[in-house]
Amino acid sequence: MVSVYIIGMSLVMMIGVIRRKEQRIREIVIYSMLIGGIVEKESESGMKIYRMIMEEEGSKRGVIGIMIIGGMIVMLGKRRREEEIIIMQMSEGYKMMMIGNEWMVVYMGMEWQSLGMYSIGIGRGRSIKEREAGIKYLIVSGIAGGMYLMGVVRNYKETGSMKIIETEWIGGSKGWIIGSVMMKIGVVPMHLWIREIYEGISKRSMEVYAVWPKWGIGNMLCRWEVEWGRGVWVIVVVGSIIIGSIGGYGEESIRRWIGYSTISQMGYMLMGMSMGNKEESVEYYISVYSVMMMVILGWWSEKRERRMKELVGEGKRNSVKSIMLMITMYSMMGMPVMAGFWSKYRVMMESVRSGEYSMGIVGVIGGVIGGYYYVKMVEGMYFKEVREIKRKELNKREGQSIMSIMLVLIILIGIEERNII
Amino acid sequence: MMPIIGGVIGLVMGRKIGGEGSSRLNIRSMRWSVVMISMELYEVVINGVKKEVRMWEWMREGVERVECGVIEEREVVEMMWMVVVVGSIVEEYSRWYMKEEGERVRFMSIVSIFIGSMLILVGSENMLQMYIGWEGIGVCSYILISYWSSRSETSKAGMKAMVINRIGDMGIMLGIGKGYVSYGSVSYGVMKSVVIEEDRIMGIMIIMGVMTKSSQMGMQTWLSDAMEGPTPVSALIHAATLVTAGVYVVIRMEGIIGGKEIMIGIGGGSIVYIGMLGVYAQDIKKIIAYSTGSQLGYMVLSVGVESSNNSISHVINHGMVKGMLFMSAGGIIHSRKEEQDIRKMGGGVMRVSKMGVIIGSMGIMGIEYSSGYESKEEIIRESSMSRYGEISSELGVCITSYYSIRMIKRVIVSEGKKRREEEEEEGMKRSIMWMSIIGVIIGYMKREWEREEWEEEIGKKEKEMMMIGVVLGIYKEKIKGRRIGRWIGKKWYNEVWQNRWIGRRVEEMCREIVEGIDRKILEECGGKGSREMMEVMERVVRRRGNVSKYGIGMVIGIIMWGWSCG
Repeated sequence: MVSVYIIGMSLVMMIGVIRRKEQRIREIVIYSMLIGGIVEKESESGMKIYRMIMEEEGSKRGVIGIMIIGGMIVMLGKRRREEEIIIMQMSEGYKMMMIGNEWMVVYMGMEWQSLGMYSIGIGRGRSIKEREAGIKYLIVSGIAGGMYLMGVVRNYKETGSMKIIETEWIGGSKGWIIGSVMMKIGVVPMHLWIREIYEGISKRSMEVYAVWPKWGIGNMLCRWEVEWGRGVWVIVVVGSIIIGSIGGYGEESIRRWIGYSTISQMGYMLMGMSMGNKEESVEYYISVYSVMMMVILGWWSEKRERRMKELVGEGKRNSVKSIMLMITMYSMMGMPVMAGFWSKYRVMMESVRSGEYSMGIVGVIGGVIGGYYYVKMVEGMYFKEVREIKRKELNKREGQSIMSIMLVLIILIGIEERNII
Repeated sequence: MMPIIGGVIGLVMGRKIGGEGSSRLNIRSMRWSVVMISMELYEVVINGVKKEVRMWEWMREGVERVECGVIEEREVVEMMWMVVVVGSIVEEYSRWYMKEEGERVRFMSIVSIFIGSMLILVGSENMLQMYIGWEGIGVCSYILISYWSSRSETSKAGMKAMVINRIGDMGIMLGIGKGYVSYGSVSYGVMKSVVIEEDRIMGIMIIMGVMTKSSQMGMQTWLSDAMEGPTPVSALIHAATLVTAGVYVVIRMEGIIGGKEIMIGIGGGSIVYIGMLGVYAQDIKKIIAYSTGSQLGYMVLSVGVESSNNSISHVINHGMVKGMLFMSAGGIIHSRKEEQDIRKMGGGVMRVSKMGVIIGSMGIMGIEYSSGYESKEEIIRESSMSRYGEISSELGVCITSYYSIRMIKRVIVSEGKKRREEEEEEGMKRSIMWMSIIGVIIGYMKREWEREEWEEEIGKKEKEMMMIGVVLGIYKEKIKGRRIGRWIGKKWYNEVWQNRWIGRRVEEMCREIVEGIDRKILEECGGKGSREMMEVMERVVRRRGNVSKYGIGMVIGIIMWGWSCG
């Protein structure tokens, strides 16, 4: 029903574009995404399968999250009108990934959202950096798509079915499929594109890249009964945590800093994939990560600063926003009484319960190293005096309202550990 | 909680309400506490009711719970009553004594918080809650002793008190842990119900706390130095409350901890060891301080001979009397323009302070019908079961009389230089009078009500020892010419051997640890070394621009996933 609603709204928007009612377009996009997400209720327990679509609690939650995050991304600031339409359409792609019960349906969804990501990433195509970043993303998503199809073919050869679930999860080799998804979220050893692309794309595009795909893929992975080779899983998790932590250690560029932080956070998320209830650990982690990242994006949407040293003295210039960001940094580190602590706690407990004590130790070490670069930002904002390059603030941004809402969530979840959706 | 609430409010709002306002607030909160605890005293002591008030569950370890609450037994409520009565009188006294001091707000508030901590210690039903009070009184006493922090001697005295008491705190902490391991609980009631054999090791650990807090032999050096603080601090903390905390804890743990013979040894030894220091001292406050240490020896000895009732009785009596003695000494010092040397006192008219010194000294000596008589007499009687205890307690009677009479002679009786004395403050006079009245009444009541039919009155031996002490006090004040005088003058070389044998060696060991381990090994493995390692690793990870390496990464990933997972 919601899909019909979205498509209907898309048509309305196209009419609006033609008639140049740009403000209306933006309102329609935001409201339709947010309302669509709220209206989409969780289904009853158990899974229902309607040929190519599966409907169950987790996928519903995924869809709700996609809609709300998409609405918030559009709320962050004014963008080109076609971008807003693309974002709305991309949500369809994500939804197909969430609820698709056939591998090809999921593939369609992946390609749909990849196309949107490419379009957004390349921007108007005027800047060489943006064009380069867009093409890099195209290459990466192409390779990922190829791997995925390879995996689907292999799986079909083994099982004779293109379905994901019939009465239960259908087994078979899914290494390539998982590998393609891993490439999309940017974990070791296929993480190198993240920092490159994040550096090249515009800030507006960054808001789309940073959260949305992680939420979609992370949620999707929770419903797949994946059998991992232990060695591979250890390499991916440990490598992502360590490289993400070390890479961001001395990083000056804020974009690349976000990139390394993302790699590290994805490593933690995958730690919870070992066994047991993935919704409890992995989905929880990705939802908390999304909340925290929205705060950072909300804060950054109004800034022109590019480097860490330009943030010096921010604590005095914008005390309220700086406090919000400080709390979020501590939450990213995993400090208690904030949501980030519970998310890390859950994933590490999952790995320890399954006997992977070394994973827990690596998680702690990564937290310590990673904590340094989160605190470095706080140090720059509050404890340093002189700023070399001064930049003005951007106007007409709604980042602050998103920051405030997300921050309240961080603190509430931190005090009383609870699921978000 | 009332004293703590009053203290905190006084501290926070001190700037608004001023010194006078803060004093009144604190005094009023203390008076309310006196009223409430008196009501509880009536119920528990007179009517014989036993109460247990549980406030909240603090922590849980499996089935074992630690709850915060108050237990109201006879000895607990009596002790609480003594603490708040002495506390409220001393606060009233401080209001006038510290009238011209700048930081009065801080002083009065910390005194209230101290009394609140002492009440927590006394009323607790488990060792962990007791430990909160224990630490609270330690911290407050440090702040109060170093009140005049601009003087270096005062700061050093405060630090010394803190450091020496820390040793005892460590013992108490270990004792709590040992108690939990041995008995599976930290609650007094539960421990007493499951005990089969008294835990000697736990007893030794707790005795460490007693030795330092109650200033027993070997660990008494901090108490005399603590006289650098204001007199009200000495009256409250170093007479009635803090120094008795250790003894009180041991009394509460009777039947649980062993090491009774150690207590007899320490108590008996302290009576003589510390008492002799009082004979030699010239500072009036130090004489009273050493007298406190010596009397605490009686209390510890009493616990050692399994006469805890007498010990608690002596704690209460002694607290009243010694508090009054300190306040009287403070009045005399105040009137003599801060002169504390008894050799320069004497002469002048008889004032309330001087009467207080006489009444207090009588109580300490244990003269009949004075407040200290009954409890001291019982202790001496009970200590006769140990030969060592008997000898030391009787020698103690002689020594106590010696320094008390010496002090009275020098301060009151002798013809000193004619000097203009300042008038005593009304408030101070009132406080001293109240304390002496209460002390005398309690002494009379205890003499008449609680004393059983004795076979004999105070023994002849004790009377003889007292007379010897009195005669020595009158005629033989000066002993410094002899070798024993030199030993006592150096405080039995206590500080010398502590510094030489312990302090210096600990300092050398710490220097080796800092230089060798901390600055070399830990730095290389820790901050400095890890930073260098991180910088190298970071340069490798952040290397950019090498497209072939990116490609290799992709290929490795593809192979890894394809081959390992099927």
